[in-house]
Amino acid sequence: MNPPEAVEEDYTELRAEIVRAVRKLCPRWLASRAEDLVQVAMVKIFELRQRREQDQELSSFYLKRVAYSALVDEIRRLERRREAPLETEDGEPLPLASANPGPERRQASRELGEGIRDCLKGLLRQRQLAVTLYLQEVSVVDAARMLGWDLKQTRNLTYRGIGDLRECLKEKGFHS
Amino acid sequence: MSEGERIPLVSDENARLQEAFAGLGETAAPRPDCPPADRLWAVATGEAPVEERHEIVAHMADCASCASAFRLARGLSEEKKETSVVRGPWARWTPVIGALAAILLLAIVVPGLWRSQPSPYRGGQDREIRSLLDDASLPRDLAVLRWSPGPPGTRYEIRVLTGDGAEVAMESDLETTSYQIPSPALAAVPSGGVLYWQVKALYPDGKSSASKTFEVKLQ
Repeated sequence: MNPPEAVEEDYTELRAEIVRAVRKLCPRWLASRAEDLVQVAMVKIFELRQRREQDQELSSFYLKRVAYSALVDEIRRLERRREAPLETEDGEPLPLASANPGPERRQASRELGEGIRDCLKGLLRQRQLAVTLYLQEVSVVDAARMLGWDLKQTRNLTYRGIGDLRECLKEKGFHS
Repeated sequence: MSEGERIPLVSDENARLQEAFAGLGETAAPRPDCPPADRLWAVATGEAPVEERHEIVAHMADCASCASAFRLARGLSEEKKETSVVRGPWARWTPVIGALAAILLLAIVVPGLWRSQPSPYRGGQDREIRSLLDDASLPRDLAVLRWSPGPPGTRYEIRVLTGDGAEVAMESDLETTSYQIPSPALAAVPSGGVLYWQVKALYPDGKSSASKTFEVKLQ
């Protein structure tokens, strides 16, 4: 394989990783714009690559960080521009990992989400942090590392925080 | 839930809570106080100081836009952990050892120089520590943990826990990439018990990174 082919392969792989992450993790309303988002990130990477001197190698981790910043900036721009949630859009959306729920379930889930957000505000600070990460699907082990706590403490705070959250939701009229 | 231990609280009800919380991203809008993307990335990858991580996580509790962006950061940074290096066509022909040595020397002479701005170059962040254990279980009398090395001069800190969070062993300032858990420390761990272990590498340039949490059974 000659060097230019190697470069092409590396960037193709990086692009594929970005596509997977965007498909899996971006909100559903951005599905039809997923390709555009990926393109924005890749353009940023190529711009960066062109600015670099020729004897420097760029780590894929760093490039992902660059891609991520471009993605978030673009998503935030779209979020600001959006006046109402977009339910459907023209074009060919990329498939998403999760199925699109029906409107009733979506509405119920939205209300529950808002209830969770309200309840989180009332939790004790440490429990609030532990539960927020739990809701973000961060494992207790990773949460402990992220918050600088030991595992046992993190587990206890998560347990108690989830208990508090459920209690609060119950008081708001949400039942399991 | 990512790799590592799962909290036993996992249930349909909690999955519903997680789904509802994530669903707030569908109608989210950024706020003036949202941190820049770089900071979210630094928190998701553990590069940010602990205080900053707390601050951002607390922000996410109330900001669906950032919560959503944080999930993307975690997904993207964990995507295909065996990261390749994207290189220019020149890379194959031009040795970079001199440049790396210079960067390393600068980092040693000026501690902290690279801390706030991670190096974009090879060796800067592509330093994942991997478990080198071949077997899924460890013999009790020779419980040796092994991991992949960092650059020369790297020192390691290791921590071993049981599933319920009890600390089995902790050792710091290791120069080698293996560690034998002292037998007495394993006395309370039953046969077939799972050990969770994690290595933190302290690089010569003053930066550090933590490995994933690995698990292994004790024979």
